[in-house]
Formats: sequence, C-alpha cells, structure tokens
Amino acid sequence: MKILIAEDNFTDRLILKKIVEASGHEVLEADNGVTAMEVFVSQSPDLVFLDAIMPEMDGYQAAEKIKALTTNHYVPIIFITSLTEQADLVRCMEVGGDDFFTKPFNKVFLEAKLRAFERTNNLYRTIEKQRDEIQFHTDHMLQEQEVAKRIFDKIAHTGELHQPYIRYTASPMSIFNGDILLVARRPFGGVHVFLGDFTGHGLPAAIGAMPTSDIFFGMTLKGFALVEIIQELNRRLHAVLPTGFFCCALAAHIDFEEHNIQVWNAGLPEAYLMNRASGEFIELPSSHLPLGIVGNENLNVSFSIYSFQEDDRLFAYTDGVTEAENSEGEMFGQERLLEALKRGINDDDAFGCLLRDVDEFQTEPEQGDDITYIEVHYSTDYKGPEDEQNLTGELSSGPSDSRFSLELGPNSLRNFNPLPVLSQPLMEIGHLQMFRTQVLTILTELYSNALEHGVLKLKSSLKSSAEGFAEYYRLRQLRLEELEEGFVKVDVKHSPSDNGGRLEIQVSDSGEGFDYKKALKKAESKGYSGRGFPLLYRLADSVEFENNGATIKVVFSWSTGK
Amino acid sequence: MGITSSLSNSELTIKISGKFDFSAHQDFRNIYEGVAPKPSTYVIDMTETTYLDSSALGMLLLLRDYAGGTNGTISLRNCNTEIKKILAISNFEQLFTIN
Amino acid sequence: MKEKILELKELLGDDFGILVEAYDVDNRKVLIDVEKHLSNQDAQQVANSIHSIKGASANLGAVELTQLCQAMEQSARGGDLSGAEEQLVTIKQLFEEAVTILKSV
Repeated sequence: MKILIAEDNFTDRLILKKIVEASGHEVLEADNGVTAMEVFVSQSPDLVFLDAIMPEMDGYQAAEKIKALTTNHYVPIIFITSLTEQADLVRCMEVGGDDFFTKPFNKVFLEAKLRAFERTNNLYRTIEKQRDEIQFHTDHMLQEQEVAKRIFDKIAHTGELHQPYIRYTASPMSIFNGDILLVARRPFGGVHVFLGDFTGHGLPAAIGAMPTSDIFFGMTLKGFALVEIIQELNRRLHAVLPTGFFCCALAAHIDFEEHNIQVWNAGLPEAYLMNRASGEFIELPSSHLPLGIVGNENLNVSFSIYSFQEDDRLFAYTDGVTEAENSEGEMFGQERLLEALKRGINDDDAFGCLLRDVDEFQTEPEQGDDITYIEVHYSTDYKGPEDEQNLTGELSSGPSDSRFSLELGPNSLRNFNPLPVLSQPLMEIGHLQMFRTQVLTILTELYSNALEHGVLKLKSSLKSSAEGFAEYYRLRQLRLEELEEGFVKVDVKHSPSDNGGRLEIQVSDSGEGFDYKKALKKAESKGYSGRGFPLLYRLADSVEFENNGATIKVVFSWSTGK
Repeated sequence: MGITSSLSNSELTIKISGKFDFSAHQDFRNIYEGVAPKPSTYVIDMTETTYLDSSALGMLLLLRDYAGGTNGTISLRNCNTEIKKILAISNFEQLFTIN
Repeated sequence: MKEKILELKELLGDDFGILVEAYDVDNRKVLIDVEKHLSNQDAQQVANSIHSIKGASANLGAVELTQLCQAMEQSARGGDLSGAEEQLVTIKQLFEEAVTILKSV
C-alpha cells in the first residue's frame, strides 16, 4: 500500500516511517495538515496516518477533508495520538477516523493493524471495480433500451385510432410496455383491429412489433383477409421471437356494411361485445395459443362471428388493466372491470366509466402502468369504398394493354385467397392505383358472389339475422372443406384509352346461376344501397349477366382527366 | 420462492414454491439442463406455487423446447384456480397436460 | 528506557543516528519555544509545544519525562501556568538525561 504519514514531530514521523516501511509499504510524508492535503490529492495514498495536533491544519480538519474527497473510494484514516482523553478519542472517530494508534508506537501492533487494513482495502477495491463494471454495463443496456423504445413508439399505436367510432387508451410514451394497438382500414370497407401484448418489455417487444405492424397494415391494404394476416403474423413471430417469447393478441374484422364482426382471441383476457340498448354482454374468451409459439402447421385459426349493429360495441383490453394495483397491492381485477363496463353501458359510457374507476383505484400511475384498452363502436358515417380517396403514390409505367385469367378448382378455393394476387398486376397499371379501392371492391364482390352463392350455394338471406350470420359462416366453412368439384374463373382484360383505360372483368362459376333479374329489381327498389349488386352498379360502368347469372361481366373505365 | 427437484424412473419432478416469476429463471433452467441422461417426462409440481406470470410461461415453453417440443412430455400438476385461469387464457392445455 | 532505545536502534538501523540528532536538536528548539510562550503567558501554545516533546519522548520509552510533560500539558490546556516554570526545569533535566542515554548506545 501507499501510506501517507502526516506528523509534525520529526522523530515520531521517522520511527513510524521505519515501522511502516519494514512492513513492506511505501511511505509519503507530510509535517502539517496543509502539506498533507496536497500530498493526498496529488499522490492518492491507500491509507493515511494523521497526527491530531499539527500546525497549519490539524488532523481533525484534514480527516474531514479527506473523507469528503473519498466518498466513492475507501481510504482508511488512522489517527496518531498521544491523547488519552476519551473525549478526544471520540472526536477522532467522529470526524471520520477509522482507527487510532497511540504513542509510544508498538511495532508488532502496528504491523498487525496494517495487515488488517490491507485486507479491508483489497476488499473495497474489488467491490469498487465490480461496481464500476456493473455501472458501465447498466448504462450500456439502458441506452439500448432507449433505442428500442423509440423504435417501438413509432409503431405501437397507429392506424385509424383517431376515428370517431373508436375510443382507446394506451400508456404514455414514457412507458415501454410491449402492448400494441393497431387499426387498419380495409380497401373495400370495414376495419381490422389488432391488440397485442408482447411478453417482456424492451427489445423483444420492439423486435416483435416491427414486423407485426408491417404485416398487419401491408396485408390489410392489399385486401388480405384477417385469417391470412394472422397466419402470416404467427409464421413471422414464430421465426423471429426466441422460444419463450410470444404475443398474446386479439384480432377482429368489423364489416360495417354487412353488420358483422369476426373475432379471434389468442391469449388476451376475455373481450366483450356489449349492446348498449339491451345491456347484453357477450364474452369473447381466449381460444387459441398466443402468436409465435407454435409453427403454422399447428395453428388453427377459427373465428367467432357475431352481428355488429348500431348499438353494439367491442371492448378489448390487455392484462395491464386487471393487474393495476392500488396502494395496498390489491389488483383491479376482472370483476371490477366488468362491473364498470356494465355500469356505464346504458349511457354508452362503458369506456369512460372504466377510465374513471381505474384512475381512482390506481394510486400511483407510474408503477408498472401498461394500461391498454379499446372500444370500437358501430359506425354509420363510415365511408364506403366509392368515397375512398386513394393516395397517388408512385405511378409506375406498367402494362398498358394486357389480359390475364385465373381459374381456381376446389383445393385452391379452399386454401387460397386470389384477391391480392389478382389485384397485384392491376396495381401495376399506371394510374389505376388511384382507383384501387373501387377495383378491389368490384373483384371482391364478384369473387365472393361466385364462390359463396355459385359454388357453395349459400343463400345470402341467411345473413339477415344475428344467428343467421354464425350459421352462414359455419356452413361456408363446412361446404368449403367438403368441396370436391367446382371452379371460379376470373378473366381480366385491360385496354388503354387517352387519359386512362378500361377494364373488362368477367367472373364465372360452376354453379347454376340465379334469378338475377329479381335481385336487380330488389336492388332498384332499395335505391341501389348496400353491398352486393347495388354496390357493383354504383362502381362499374356496366354490369351484364350470362349463363343464367353464373357469369357476370363488369366494365370499369377510368380517366385521370389530365 | 424455492425450487426443488427429484428424479425417478426417468421422470423429473420440479416443485416450485411461492411465486413463479423471472427470479426463478436461472435455477429452473439449471435444474432441467443438469440432468443427464435427459428425462423422458417432466412434472411441474405447482402445489405450492402461488403465482405465475408471463416470464414463467416463457420458461415453460423453453422447457418444452428442451424436452423435444412435443405434447405429452410435460404435465403441470396441482395448479390452483388462479394459475389454472392464467393457463386457460393462454390455452396452454394445448401444449401441456394440466391437472 | 534503554531497552526501548535498543529496539529503536535495531528498527532504524543506519537511520538511528538521524533519530538521535533530530531528537536532540528539534526538542531543544521546542524547549526554547516553551520558554518564550511561557514568558508570553500563552497557555495554549505552551500546551502544544509540550505535547510535541511528550510524544517524541514517549517513543523513546522515557516514561518519567513523558508523564511530566503530560501533566504540564494538561494544566496548560486548562489555562493554568502556575506550576509551569518548575515543571519546565525538571523536564529540561530529564531531557538531557535522555539525550545522554541515546548517544551512549
């Protein structure tokens, strides 16, 4: 050790120095308090002997100064004293002395003391070094977390959340909790809702959230159905997230025009369909493993379908709400949540009721506050597809006169959604992107009609009641599974014109056709409102029927008016 | 939180007392990784487990992966109501035998 | 006292001579200071100076000298210089004895 001896008496200093050097240590000397401090600061000794009485600055003051300088780095102080008064000795300890050594100096004694202090010193040095290493690594990790958080913030709550038919609450940006809430508009009506809770906060959440957001918005925009989006999400998360990490999620497709909602809950607490008129609550419990756990071969996506009308509300949340604690460590819990919703539903303020209850319950909102929930209303002023204003984006110079057709047999009809594939080449055609929504809607209507009414022979009248929906989709699933023969053929021809172009779309199915004249009359009488044929008539230039209705030809032309 | 284990006839039983959360991470893993040859079945005894969080679910998934990733090798025994509920919400009965 | 001094001689080796020189010269000076402070009736300074001699002497094992210094220092700290002059005489005497022993070893 490097030892500083601050003692004004020469002989004392000499004797002490000799003893210390004999023990194998290096000695620094000072004969007054001021010099002692100078030497201390410039040489950083490991241990200091201080005489209590010294000129310029006495030992007590020097001790205080040294202790003030060494708060992070242990340097023991031993008072050299011939003081015998207890009060004086007490004062030595009070100013921070770690020990004292009385004159006359006892060599054996001092050696023993030095050995003991050396052991303690080594211990302190080890701890200080480890502490510094830990601090360094902690700082590094915090910095990485910060970056992950900023990435996450950009994607965690996005999409159509600002729409008037949605009420939601999500944690302030200062909290990095792994919950994401996304709402995307489908190009031909309806919305997709996704509420996700990634295990762990920090990096796993950020890593999972990025592809989730891209996939969700990208696929919705391209016209993919929710089941396909979920499959892709699971596939990607299963590949990307390490074992043990997963995403509890709830996904829903709300079709405002068809008045129905499909819900899929994989690992989130039970969501609710609330009806403000009747006060009825339908439970939507978790029925699937969370995303990312099993590969797609073991993934079974089956939806529950319910009617969704004017008085209906979807309410979904992550467990941050039910696990919110009050000052006694009690959790908010499912009962309180349900009770708050039920209390508020008649005034259509289920959301507000819950918000206030949680606020009151939670005494310290900063603690573990990952509260995320959403309420989606039925929306009457939801814009229909023909009112969609598409962004122009990049107008590629793609094919300008082309034709393609696609024929799908039973296996393809069962497993494959052709709509994104069909729309893809069309979107390459310059300027047609501006009318993307309209074109996709036409294709969807024609295809659905061909598949469901033509091939599967389902009756759309079934969909007019709440139970009818569930039955319709159950039958659809069943018949699709059992399908052995049949086809849908799609033919698209594009011819350019001066400022735009013309699409001739023909869809045929293997069914027997239907009484299209009757359907037309009905549409006429309703003023061509609603989905189905009325929609086709609104969007297209012309609609023609052949083969008793098993083949429908639609013409859509556009011009950019430039 | 305490973890103990016992091995008999190639079945490893791991018992968790108290909260099953992230603090159990290292011990839990050390136990099953330290058994050679690998057991053919595992039992997680939850008789005295009071609480399970998402990191515990993650640990179970890691064990399942280690044990070969198939159903039927791991059972979760004597789960209390709360824990059963958490497992039900996550639909973990699709991956583990729960009783 | 002799025993202690022999110990010191062994400890200091070649530096023993320096110790003897230093003890002799330094403390002689201090004794002069004491006289000065005494004539100024500066009790605190008397105490401080005597304290210094006391410490040095203790290290040599000069028990009697040390004890006397202690007594003088105590009184002086309390502001009492009444017996100081007399004590100083004895101290000077004992000091010379100590120096003699030191030089004789």
